[in-house]
Amino acid sequence: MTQDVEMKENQTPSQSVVTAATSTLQNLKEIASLIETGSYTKEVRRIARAVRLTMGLRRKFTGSVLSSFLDFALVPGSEAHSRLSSFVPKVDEHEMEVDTASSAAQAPSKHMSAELEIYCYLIVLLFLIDQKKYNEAKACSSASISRLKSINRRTIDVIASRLYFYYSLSYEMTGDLAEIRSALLALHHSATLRHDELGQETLLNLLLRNYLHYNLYDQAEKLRSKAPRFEAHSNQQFCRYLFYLGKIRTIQLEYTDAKESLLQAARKAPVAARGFRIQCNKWAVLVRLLLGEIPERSIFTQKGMEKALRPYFELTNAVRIGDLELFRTVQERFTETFAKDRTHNLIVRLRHNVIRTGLRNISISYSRISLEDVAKKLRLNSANPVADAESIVAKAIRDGAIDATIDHKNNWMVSKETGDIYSTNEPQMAFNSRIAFCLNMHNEAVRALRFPPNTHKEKESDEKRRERKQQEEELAKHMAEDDDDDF
Amino acid sequence: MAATMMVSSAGGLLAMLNEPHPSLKLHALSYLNSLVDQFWPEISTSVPIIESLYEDEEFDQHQRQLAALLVSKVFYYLGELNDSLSYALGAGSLFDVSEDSDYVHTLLAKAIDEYASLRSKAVESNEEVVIDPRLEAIVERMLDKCIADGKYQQAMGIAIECRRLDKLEEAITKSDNVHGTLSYCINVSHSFVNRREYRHEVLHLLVNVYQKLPSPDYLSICQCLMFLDEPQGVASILEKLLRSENKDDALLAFQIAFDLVENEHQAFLLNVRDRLPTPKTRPAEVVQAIENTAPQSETPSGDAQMTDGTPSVTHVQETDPAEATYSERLTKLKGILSGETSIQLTLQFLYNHNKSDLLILKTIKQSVEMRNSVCHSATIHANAIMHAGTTVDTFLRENLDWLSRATNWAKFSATAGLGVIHRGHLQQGRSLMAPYLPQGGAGGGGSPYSEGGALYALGLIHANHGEGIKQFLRDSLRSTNVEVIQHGACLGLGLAALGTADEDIYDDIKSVLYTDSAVAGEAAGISMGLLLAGTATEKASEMLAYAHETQHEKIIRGLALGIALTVYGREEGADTLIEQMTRDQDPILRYGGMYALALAYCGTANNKAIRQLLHFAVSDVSDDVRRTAVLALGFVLYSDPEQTPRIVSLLSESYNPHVRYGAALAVGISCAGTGLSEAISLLEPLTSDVVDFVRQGALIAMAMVMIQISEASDSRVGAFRRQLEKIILDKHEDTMSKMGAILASGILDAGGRNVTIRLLSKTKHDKITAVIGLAVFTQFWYWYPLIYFISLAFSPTAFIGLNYDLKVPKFEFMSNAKPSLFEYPKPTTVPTTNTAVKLPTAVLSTSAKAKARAKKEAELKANSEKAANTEKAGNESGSGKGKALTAEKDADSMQVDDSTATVEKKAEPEPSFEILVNPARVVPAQEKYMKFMEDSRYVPVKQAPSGFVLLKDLRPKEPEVLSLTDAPTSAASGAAGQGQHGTTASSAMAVDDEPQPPQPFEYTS
Repeated sequence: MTQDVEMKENQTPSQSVVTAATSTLQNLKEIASLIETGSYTKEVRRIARAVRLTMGLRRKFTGSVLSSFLDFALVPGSEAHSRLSSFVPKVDEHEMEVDTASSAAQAPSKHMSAELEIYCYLIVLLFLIDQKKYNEAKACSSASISRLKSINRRTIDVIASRLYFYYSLSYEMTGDLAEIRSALLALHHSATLRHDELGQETLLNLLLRNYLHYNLYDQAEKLRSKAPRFEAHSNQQFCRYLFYLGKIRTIQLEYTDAKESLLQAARKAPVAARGFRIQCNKWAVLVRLLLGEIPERSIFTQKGMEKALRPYFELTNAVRIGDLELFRTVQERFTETFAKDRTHNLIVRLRHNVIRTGLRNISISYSRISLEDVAKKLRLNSANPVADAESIVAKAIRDGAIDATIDHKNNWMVSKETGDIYSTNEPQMAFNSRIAFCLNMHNEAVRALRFPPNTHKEKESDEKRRERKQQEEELAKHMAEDDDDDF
Repeated sequence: MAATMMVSSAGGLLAMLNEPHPSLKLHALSYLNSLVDQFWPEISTSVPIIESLYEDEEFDQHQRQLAALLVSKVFYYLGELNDSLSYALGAGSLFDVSEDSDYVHTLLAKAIDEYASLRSKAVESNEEVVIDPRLEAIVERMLDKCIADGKYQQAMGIAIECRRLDKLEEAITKSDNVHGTLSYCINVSHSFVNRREYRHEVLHLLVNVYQKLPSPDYLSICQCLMFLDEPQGVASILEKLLRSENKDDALLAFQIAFDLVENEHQAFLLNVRDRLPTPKTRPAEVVQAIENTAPQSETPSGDAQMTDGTPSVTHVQETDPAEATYSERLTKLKGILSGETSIQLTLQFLYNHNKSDLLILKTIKQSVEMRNSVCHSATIHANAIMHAGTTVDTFLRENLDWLSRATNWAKFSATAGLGVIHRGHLQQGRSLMAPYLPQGGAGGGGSPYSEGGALYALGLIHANHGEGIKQFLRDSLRSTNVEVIQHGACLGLGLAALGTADEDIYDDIKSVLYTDSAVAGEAAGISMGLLLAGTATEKASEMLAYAHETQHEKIIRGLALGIALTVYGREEGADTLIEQMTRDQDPILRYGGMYALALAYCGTANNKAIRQLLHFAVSDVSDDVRRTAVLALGFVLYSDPEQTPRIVSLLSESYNPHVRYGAALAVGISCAGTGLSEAISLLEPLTSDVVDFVRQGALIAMAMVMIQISEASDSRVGAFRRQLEKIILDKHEDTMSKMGAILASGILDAGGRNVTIRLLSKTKHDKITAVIGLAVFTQFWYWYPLIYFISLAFSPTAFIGLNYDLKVPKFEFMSNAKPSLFEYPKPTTVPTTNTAVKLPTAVLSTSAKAKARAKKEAELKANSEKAANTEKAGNESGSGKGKALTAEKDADSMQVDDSTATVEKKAEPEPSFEILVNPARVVPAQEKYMKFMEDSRYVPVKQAPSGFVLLKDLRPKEPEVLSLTDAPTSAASGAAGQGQHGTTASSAMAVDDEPQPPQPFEYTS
């Protein structure tokens, strides 16, 4: 589960490109003013936009930029300032120092908003994680969380949910996830009490991840089913939730539901979130195999996934043919990968399916076949292959995997004729479900459309239109990057 | 905790709960309790087991409580706060209220909510609701903690919410600033206590607390008592204050009286007055006699004495001096309480400060087509509104020919318009209207329309102060059987006897109603409503029965409105009646039901009422009902004007023009005089609506919102004025919107630009006359003469400071804002003689303006004495502003000087403040900038920025300089020994005070 959170390498600009640094600082200042207005007018969307913009900038952060920004945003000498500056290495760049001095001079008169303070925590945390200083990140995030607890403002929720995420991430990187579980539970509950749905969503996912990390599937399921429900707010968090849900259900043998959640998660995830989608696909393939379905080849040939899905492709092949021998070799060859993916236990469950698929092939090929031959074809090398074969066939018939009867007297398996499926209601039902799916999709899309209030009434001025256009473009551009950053 | 951190599942402990041995169970419970924060999802599956442990009688108390606590916590995490609370109560002492955790905080909040809802349910449904004593204990502990921590406001809030008046009292008395908390509490009880009876209980308590204080705040007490309708209490307080040795106490008593009068609760005021002892000295008899004989009195001099108070002099020598001052004060107080003092002063103020722009009217008159009678009478209406209360009828006088085009009902309106113009002219009202009044039995040749109109006009003049005129109106009503005259008389009688519930008058009107004549019946219905306003009597059902019986729509409508008026301000008390009306088959009665909702819940912003109205606004089948339902929202919400535009914004875009019209008026009513930006934005598109009557409504509403807002503070005011002009001048505009524009111009400049529409008094109480006036005004949809009811809602925006003798002394104070923000609008185009003087006059104080105005009037009347007097006042007033004064000293050179002043003004920047001189125009938006000067001779008794304020004289030895009145300073102090002579002299002077009654004029029809 760790590699899906791929941290993009941070190219620390070692050469002092002063212009780049100042422009970053300038951008940060703009973001800060955005947050100020957002907190002043209580408009959450402004703050969400600020956070989005930050994600675009984060690769350009350097120690000096951050420290001068902190001087700008926080009151020098305040508690938050001194604490945060201690995390940021001082770089002796003369140009920057000048800049710092000038910006610090303007700052003190300003009234500091809580939003801005929390935002400073966020960018320092981002910086530390990008620099792989996880222990400092842990300290920084813990400090930010304790500060957050004392603030109860809905405008902070967006920033706070990001902080929760990185808080958990920094602990995960150092392998101490268990430590923060109770803290997360407490945070989750206070988010529930404060109707901070975004935070609730994020924290629930983090908790699930936390439980799953230690294979505590049962507890995860209990928490999930007991936690209060609400409409999803963020697509990313909803994807994650579906993924965790799929995993839990897979473990608990609810394959059909699991398949649905996993496929939905894979479908909803943005294109850029490759790691996440690979994970989803791996699990989805396994679940489908467990259900007795054979995934299409196209799944394994998706762009950028061939290599990662290769072991699963081979596995699928083995199941498809129903060749136990091949299955065993594949299983042995990729043991390491499966162990790393923590899908090993599921693959063990697959053996049974291999047999069943083999059996189905046999039943299709032969209208009547002796159990002895069945055992041979399935390469059942046990003490009493015929008896084994008999029980396997009987179970398959009972499960509805094959349509056949056993002639116990002659030790035969007699397959029934397969009827013409088009004479039944089956195609209609399939068609109906697809139509329903499409209609549902359409309705949800319509419902998801949002209009700012009173737009039809105000005649917007040129300036406003320009601003809006620019915002929209930015939004579109950042959507992709944003999702990318998130996974 | 270190050990517990290691645990990764609570499964083991949960299993232990099933063990038979109690000590194992106890162990499991205590561990689970410490782990519950982390493992509640797991524990939640075993809640039934733990619950059974709690209920297990064999367990010892501690264990059971522990189990309860655990279950409570689990339920809390599951979001089941009700269950959580009940188990927490079961946990007894283990549930620690002082613990600082989310769990405890949440449950405490829940407990208080629960307790509050139980308590209010117990009271409202009148049935015994068992309240868990443990719950009560928790809430009480919280309250005590709040009080102990000094968080009195919280404590008061909780106590009010939970209906714990004992705790409320405790919180108030223990607080460090009792007066502050008390006024906070009054505010809270008005804005947040929704049930009327309960609010009364709270107020009772507050009055008690007030009275126990060493230095009671009598102003607030009396306001409360008025709410509680306890005239006896007020009367005794007033008496106590009057008896006091201290002059300041008397001033306070006067101030209280003025404040009470401002709330316009006629019946209550009369009650208070009657409960005050009658002065034992001779003047009392005089007053009494005058009161009784006033209706017949032909000489105005007698009336004037009432407010004068000086005639007490003869007896002063003989009786106890204390008794004498007392009776003198009492006479004054009675004058105030009868409303006559304030009406008289207001009239003087409006007359002297009249700034109406005749050119606007002239433009309207010229552009309106001769044959278009609707616009013609709209112009007459506009004129009346513009000059409401100013007694200036120049326009009518100058256009007698044009006026004579009004026939039939238009004539009725034209005559009634005089009543609006002379509103409050109590002394000479009757003599003014005499030429038009029906000549009892003499068979006068007057048209019934003008006679009816004159009776209506009398009602308007005496609205809510009809003591003197009631009898005459009754006689007129009885002596006629012409329905037009009956109509006028009914309306007039209703207005004059507003809210008095006088049985005899009621019977008279009822007999008119039972003649089943449509025209008279409609007026009778409304009149009954006016008479019984706010009484919620049984008679409403009688009226309702007749409404069902009659065939005439007009009568039904009149009665429907009348019934609605009876439940004014009754809130829940009116619910049955409202229910009855809104469920009726007849749309007209449902329409009345909407008004009933509006008036019963006026100014409460009650959610239930709003919900009901919104429901009717979208669901009723009748357009009339829907329109009224939306309109009614304006009444319910006027105490919270910011809300209205938001609530009706969707309705203002309805496909149904009636709903749009209603939305426009709702905004107009609730945001009247506020100039609220959102309200204007909402109305703007409606003023160019596709449907003509929506435009009409929007224009009127816009004028109501923008009344007295200057262009400097909102540029849209100027745009609106130009829009009105354009509509009026446009030949192709629809009659309806033209009429709207004409009325809007009238309302925009109402009362000589010195009044605003105010539904709340300065003490945030509903003004019954104003609310009822507006409610009836909205009926103009059906009946144009009802437009005049809007004049009831006008209240002068003036600061009038009074001294002990109830005279207006010269007193300066400061408005800490740019003068241009609140100045009068500039007159249109070439200044006429009437408006020339008040060009943006560089003159940096209104005193000079006022002076110039006063002088102008003086000239007009050619009253040399008065001119001399004002000159003198002006001289004294502005010694620092010599330039301006000298400029105006010479009336002939005025024009020239004025223009030079304007030139000079351009050079210098606008000052950031303005010195105002008593009495001055202070518009509502200006109130927050008002400052009293510290080194002033007078100190106001109450820190109020407008209205009537009594001033304490810090230098009583010095001679006083009076403005607005002719009375020489020596007479004011009531020097003894003048005897009879003094009496007549002063009363004559008081008469001179009044503007001369205009000569009656005749229609040349």
